[in-house]
Amino acid sequence: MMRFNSYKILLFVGALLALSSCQQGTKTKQSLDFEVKDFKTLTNWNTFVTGDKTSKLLYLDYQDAINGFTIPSIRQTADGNFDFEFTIKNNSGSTQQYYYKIYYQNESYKFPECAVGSTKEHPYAQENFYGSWADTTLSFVETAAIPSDGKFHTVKNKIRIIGNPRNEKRYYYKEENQRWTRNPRMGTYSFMLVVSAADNFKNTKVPDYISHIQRKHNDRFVNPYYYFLYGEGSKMKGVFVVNNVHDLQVIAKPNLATGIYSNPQDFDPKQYQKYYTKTCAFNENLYLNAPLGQFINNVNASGKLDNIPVIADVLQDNYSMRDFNWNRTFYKKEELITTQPNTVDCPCQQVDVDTVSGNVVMRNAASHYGDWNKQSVGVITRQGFAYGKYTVKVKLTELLNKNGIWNGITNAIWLVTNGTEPWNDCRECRSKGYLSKYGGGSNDKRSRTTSYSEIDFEILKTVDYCPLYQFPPAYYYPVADRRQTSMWNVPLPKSMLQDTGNVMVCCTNWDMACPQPAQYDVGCQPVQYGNQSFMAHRWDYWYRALTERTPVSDDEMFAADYYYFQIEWKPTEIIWRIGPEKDKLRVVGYMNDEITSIPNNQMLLVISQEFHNTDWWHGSPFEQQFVPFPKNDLLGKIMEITVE
Amino acid sequence: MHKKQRIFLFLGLLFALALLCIYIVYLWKYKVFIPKTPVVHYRIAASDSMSYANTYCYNFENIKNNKHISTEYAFSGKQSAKVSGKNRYSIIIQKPFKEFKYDSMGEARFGAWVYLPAKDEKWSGKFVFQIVNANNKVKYSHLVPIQKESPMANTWFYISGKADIKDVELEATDRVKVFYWNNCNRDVYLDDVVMILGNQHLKGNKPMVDETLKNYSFHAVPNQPPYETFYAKKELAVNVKNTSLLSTDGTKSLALEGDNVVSGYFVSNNTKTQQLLILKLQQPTAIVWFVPEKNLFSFIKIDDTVFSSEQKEITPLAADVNGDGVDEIICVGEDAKDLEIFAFNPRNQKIARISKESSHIEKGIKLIQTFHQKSNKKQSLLAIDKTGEAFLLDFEKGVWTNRFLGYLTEGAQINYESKMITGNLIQADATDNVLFLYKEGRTNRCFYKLFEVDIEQGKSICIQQRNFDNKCDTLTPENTYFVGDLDGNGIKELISYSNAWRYDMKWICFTDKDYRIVGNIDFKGYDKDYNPKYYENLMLSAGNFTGNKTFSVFTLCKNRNAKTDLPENVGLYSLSTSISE
Repeated sequence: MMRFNSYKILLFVGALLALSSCQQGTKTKQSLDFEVKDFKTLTNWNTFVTGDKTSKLLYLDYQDAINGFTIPSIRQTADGNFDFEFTIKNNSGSTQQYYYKIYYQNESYKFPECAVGSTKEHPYAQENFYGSWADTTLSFVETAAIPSDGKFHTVKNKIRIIGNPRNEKRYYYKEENQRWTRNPRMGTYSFMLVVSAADNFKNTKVPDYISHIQRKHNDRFVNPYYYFLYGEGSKMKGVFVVNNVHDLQVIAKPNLATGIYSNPQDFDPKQYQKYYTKTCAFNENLYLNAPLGQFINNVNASGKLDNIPVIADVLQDNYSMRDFNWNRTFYKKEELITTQPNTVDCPCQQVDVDTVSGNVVMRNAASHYGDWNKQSVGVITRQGFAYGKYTVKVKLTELLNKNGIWNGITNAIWLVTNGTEPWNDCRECRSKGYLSKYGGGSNDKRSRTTSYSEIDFEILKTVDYCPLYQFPPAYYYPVADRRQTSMWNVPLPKSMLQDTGNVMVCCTNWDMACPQPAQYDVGCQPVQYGNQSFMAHRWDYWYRALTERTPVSDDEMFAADYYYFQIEWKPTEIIWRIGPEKDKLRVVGYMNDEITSIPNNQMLLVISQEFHNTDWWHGSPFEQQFVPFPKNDLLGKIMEITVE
Repeated sequence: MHKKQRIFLFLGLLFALALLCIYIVYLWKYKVFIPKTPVVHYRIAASDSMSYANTYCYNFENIKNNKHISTEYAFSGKQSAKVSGKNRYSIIIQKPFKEFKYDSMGEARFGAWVYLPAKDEKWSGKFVFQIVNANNKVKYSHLVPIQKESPMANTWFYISGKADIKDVELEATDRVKVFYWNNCNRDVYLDDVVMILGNQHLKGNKPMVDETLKNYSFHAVPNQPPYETFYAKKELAVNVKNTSLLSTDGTKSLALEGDNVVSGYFVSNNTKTQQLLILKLQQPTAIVWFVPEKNLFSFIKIDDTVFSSEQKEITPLAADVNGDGVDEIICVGEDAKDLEIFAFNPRNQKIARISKESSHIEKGIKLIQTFHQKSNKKQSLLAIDKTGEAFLLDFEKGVWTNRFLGYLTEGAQINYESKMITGNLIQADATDNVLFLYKEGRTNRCFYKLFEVDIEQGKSICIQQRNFDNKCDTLTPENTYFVGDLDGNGIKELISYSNAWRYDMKWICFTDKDYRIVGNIDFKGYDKDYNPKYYENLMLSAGNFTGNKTFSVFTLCKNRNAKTDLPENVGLYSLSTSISE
């Protein structure tokens, strides 16, 4: 009986806590001295109807957007602002002026305003993308004098969403606000209107750090959504708050046909001008407008390969396992080509826009005798975002031929840090710190911050392998016995034969070995997503990345006219999806902040076809150095990039 | 001894014992204590060599009559290592350190599949990695403790460990040991033990260097690999079935069996293509030729044993020594002095001897080749006798006449292996040069000399010579050589063919100063991946088998034992006539 009572008490307390903790959704808080209604946002923007849902949809305007996006742009509305209005009725008995301020917040990629099971602000709610007037020195705006005439009076104003809305000095460079370093996040936005009686300002009841969002309280920002909806502001008299959730949906869908910018730091325009084309070059127009740039891989200089001196079209030449084994076995050391997977050596020759289809085309250049190429190619977006659902529609090169032999390419769709300067630092790792540099060993000094981040799809021929330590699967090594075919023509292990037509979709988050997550671990550990279980693997305690592998048919992904890949990067989880159509995606990888640190800095999207050193992928049945140089160009097409 | 002293002594001993116990416990707890294993005299062979350096897998399948080996359970194969009872160690895998490659040591990883038969008992043990010196003294030890109250029974699971050995001063005489130490009463079975020494690459493991531009460029060095590969494309032949040729009327077939081929113009026909005389045990079995316009092989079976000569050291030659427009077959007689001439008789479709005459080379022929003189319709022979004297042989009025052309003593020495090749290698439409290849048996050094022959003066002039201090694999007398005009410029090139360590065919041309390896010759257009070079037995000949201006390679591909995935076949592969193509 006693135990039952305790149970009831616990239930009661829990219910109280639940009721008192933050509730998500539309909030309206009414004041008695005045009434506000008909808060209408984006009155100068069309409503978009899908099924029974209505929302306002805006595609980012990439024109002149290199210095940051504005929502809307000057081309999308008459003055580059959204109009909003509300009506107010003065019930005080005397003419009054009221103060109001509009806030916006990205709702798709935010931390909840309240900590779990608490009324306190979530420690990361300050990271949410919220803003108000572009001029942060502007506090609440005064209305005209509103007579107490029992009527509603309309108040109109304008707002626009911009980068670095808090005008944080972190994102300044030489006194200039680099708004592009904290671009607006994609997804849905809410708008919160706060109307206050004049007393609240005269008596400074609304704190300075709320009326001026650029200001901090106790050395941290306070999210005004938390303040007015759940915090002290929610209890404040004479304040009217209305929050329109999911009012605007913002999508980035760049027009790829605009072109590809060639960075002069990669290729000196004076020297390489002859390679420029109309849609791929270094010029002002492309600098301002091109959504993509040519991606130049970072190459590990120590990653040299002693490559067989064979040029073959693995995909077309009926290249067989016997060919592979012969070439692997019967070349002498002095015949091998010591080279490294390298980068392109001139701009705009391996990437350009197909102006007919509007697709971006990239190609790994063919090799010729003496001109041995295993060149990685790719494009990179030029405007970074924090978080987002990145969906790409691509036709990348096939990786396997009909005999299941790999052409050495890794198709990669990945996000990489937008910059390694301090402005792009990730959230501090409070537990021991990050191993802050991408390349480095176990003895590197840890630091509290890092600006390096990476989230990958890497698709290549390797094995579904999740060991505690580096134990490559055992293969028979061919013996160069010319007179016994079975000695040198070694088949794949039986366990791999079933996967002949599959390549591995490897999903990786580079968390830079921050051991802060509660279940940070080494080796192989299961991660549950719905009824799916993924095996996440980290090589060692100091290893900077966590990877999950899923075998998928090469034909399914790369033989069709196109295929979709999606990385949904959220504040607390990352979901990797693939599928033949955008509405037919399936999850192939999942991680959350329990096992890995999810980056919160700004990243760029890279789509590339790369030649990797297979030493990185223990157990790969086809070592890169035994894969022939490409005889023909390996084509990849990018048809669509969407960030939602 | 006083009572007091005895008490003190007893207490002292007790204290020492207690210290010893504490020390043992301390050692045990901090993993310094390790079971001492004996010097191991047996050796377990790794089940296979790995494609990764310093990686070894042991599956215990190749061990017989060993008490540590069991057939009760096995993760792979039929055997595993059994550890019976408490405080026992498993069979010890031991590998001399000198068998590992020394570079990039720093860590070692070891793992094994373990099986526990059903038994309700806790499991404890240690998986041990040790490095011992030559005297079996432990230099380093890493123990992976294994302890489970209720382990999964009747299932194989994996145990593994990683040892940091970067601070261990390793010596070549050290040995690496991996074994399992059992601390519980239950039996434990181990299989597929893996041992890896050395670091492995991990993505992101090394600093990245931003190399925005390609910094690598390839500079081809003449006569140094790699070489460009030229592909000979397979000709369509409609009357080939595996290694048999079928007549188009279906009445006849020829199963190609042979151990040697001589190419020449043996049968007068309109196609002007070279034919193949197939030899088996030095006897002709068939003449085969390709008819390009019909895409088929024609053939004549030769059933008779016609070559009486027992001379097996010198392969018969094809040469038109009488100038009748077709080649005769020249065999060196048993005494290495006589030369027998055979010819194909189109009337009875047989090969018959038409002459057996002395060469007048009294010291015996050691090397002999066909020799073509400028603007001479009929061909001569160039022979070197066993003392190194060179002679030009002409067949005139039914007898052989010879002319002395100087000395090539290296060809005669017993410790030299030598080969002679003739052809106009320097100049178009000129008298043949003589290329002489020889190899010193003791040092394996290779040499070549290229001669111009001055017939009028009766001498041969060496115009090039070179020695290869290091290994030579191209101009070595061990290879087979074919001569033909591959690029259509009137100058003959050399095809060097080796089928020793691997198939290797090279295209070589000569200038007046040097030789140049133009490239490798490979095949394409074959069915599936039946590239002739993949066959265990490849009989091959090269010549103008598809026309005067096309150089082709005839292949007869067989295996020692029938292989369904590599069926025996006959093929003809042609190179295009121009290098630039």
